[in-house]
Amino acid sequence: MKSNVFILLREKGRLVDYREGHNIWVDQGREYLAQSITDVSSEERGVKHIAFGIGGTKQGLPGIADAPPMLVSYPFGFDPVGTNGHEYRTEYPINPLIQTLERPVRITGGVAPYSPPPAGDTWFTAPPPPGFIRTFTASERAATTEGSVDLVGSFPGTLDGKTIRLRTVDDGSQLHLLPADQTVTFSSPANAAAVISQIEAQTTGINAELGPSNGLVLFTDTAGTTAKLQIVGGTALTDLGIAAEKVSGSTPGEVIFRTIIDATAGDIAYGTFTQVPLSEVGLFLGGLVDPGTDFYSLGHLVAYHTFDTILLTPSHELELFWLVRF
Amino acid sequence: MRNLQIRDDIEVKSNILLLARERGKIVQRREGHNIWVSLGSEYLAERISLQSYSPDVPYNPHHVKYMGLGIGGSAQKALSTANNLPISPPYTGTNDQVDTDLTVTTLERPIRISGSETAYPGVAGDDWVGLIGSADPNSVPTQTTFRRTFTQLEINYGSFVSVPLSEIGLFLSSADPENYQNLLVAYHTFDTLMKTAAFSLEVIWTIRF
Repeated sequence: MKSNVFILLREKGRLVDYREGHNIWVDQGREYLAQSITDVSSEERGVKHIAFGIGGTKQGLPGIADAPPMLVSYPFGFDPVGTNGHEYRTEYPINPLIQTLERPVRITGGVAPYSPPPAGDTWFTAPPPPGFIRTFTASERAATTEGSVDLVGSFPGTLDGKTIRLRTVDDGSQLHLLPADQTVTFSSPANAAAVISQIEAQTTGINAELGPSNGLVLFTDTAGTTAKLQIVGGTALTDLGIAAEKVSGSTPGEVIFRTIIDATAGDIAYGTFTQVPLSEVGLFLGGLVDPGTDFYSLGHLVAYHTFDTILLTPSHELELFWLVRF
Repeated sequence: MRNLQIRDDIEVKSNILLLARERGKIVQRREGHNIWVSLGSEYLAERISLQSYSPDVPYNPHHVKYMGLGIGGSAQKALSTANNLPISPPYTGTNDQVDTDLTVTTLERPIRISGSETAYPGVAGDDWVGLIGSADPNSVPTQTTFRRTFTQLEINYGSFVSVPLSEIGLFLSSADPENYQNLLVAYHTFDTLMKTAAFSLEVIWTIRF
């Protein structure tokens, strides 16, 4: 089963909670698509914002969501349908009809309730990055990472005995759950070709080659979104200019939207909001009348997801990836 | 009440109807499901994306604008006509392409709407795809219908008295009508429909999201 919404919660850089699931492309999002392909003059909007909320059927902490200060600042019943605050569901988005988030929360701003609309609040993540990032793919690619060191022009002679630790999956599984590390230990490589051959000899499912700038390129055997590669660590990373990071492959016809909520910098969990039980998220088009006050932003939500509650506190950073596949 | 909906990927479904009319009366009819090819999926991913913000600029601002016909595709049943004069060599080629292959990028043996009778790539002034014009307002807002009527004298001109049509594609506004190998976003191959100057051909193509 493939998921397309991934939420990672970190504290001091360490992953402390994780959600993955399936979104629903709501009716007005499908209407937007139907209009988009017919006449560009009538529909020029694109996906531009992500917003979070505490509504949705997956809200598992009603004791926090339905008590002050959340209840006071983010009361239920103000959405277009007038729900009890926990009725929006991904599985059946037409009853109640999902047109916006059920109980949206601010990224930054004040504490006033929804009505009347408070001025100066920010309800949506917005460009430039890291507020909002878009990547799309024109062709199927392996999960790939490239080193910054020119292995031909300035080959590092310090690699003997040093290591790279990697892990990979090819079925979409989560890198932190399943695979064991693969460790490459270099044995006096004399040149770039020896580095490549030693990596390929000591790993499974991972290939190596030189990139256009003679940097070391590591990539998975398989291509597409299900291919993932993680550079876990090792003592040779600095010599090779390789970053410790996770990368995924890509499939044509996909676009990935990404945003970061930095609660340590005051996003969402600010002031009296010391615990924010996030449980819904939406993908919105640009062209909002006023991102500060138009918090329900009717007509702009195209995709929706409700997830098991993630409790955001001021010590957390939340990263969200939203993959849309056609 | 509508059925339970659980959707992960955005599924693009469509139906296509071809009606050949002689003095208004339907004389031939083809109906089927086309495929939204990989190029079409890439287009949609680009279409919903912005390449720059404030002012917002779509990564791909194009829309579906043209329809093109061909005599290629695996459903061609009149190979003796398709592979002999006067159709071939002007429209020479194979009939291997199927409409289950998402990697299809062009019509296999495109034919001109109007223009010359020269072999591929034709000459300047040839018209290889037909302008659709505005899409129909649709009673179902999550779908859109493209309609194009090819007149009696379109396709059938000069020595092309009888043209065994068997494939059709949808093209974006980025296509060049004078280019015979435009990239398509949707494709369909159908049992041969022999187009003559005795009738017009109406194509009704509905895309549903």
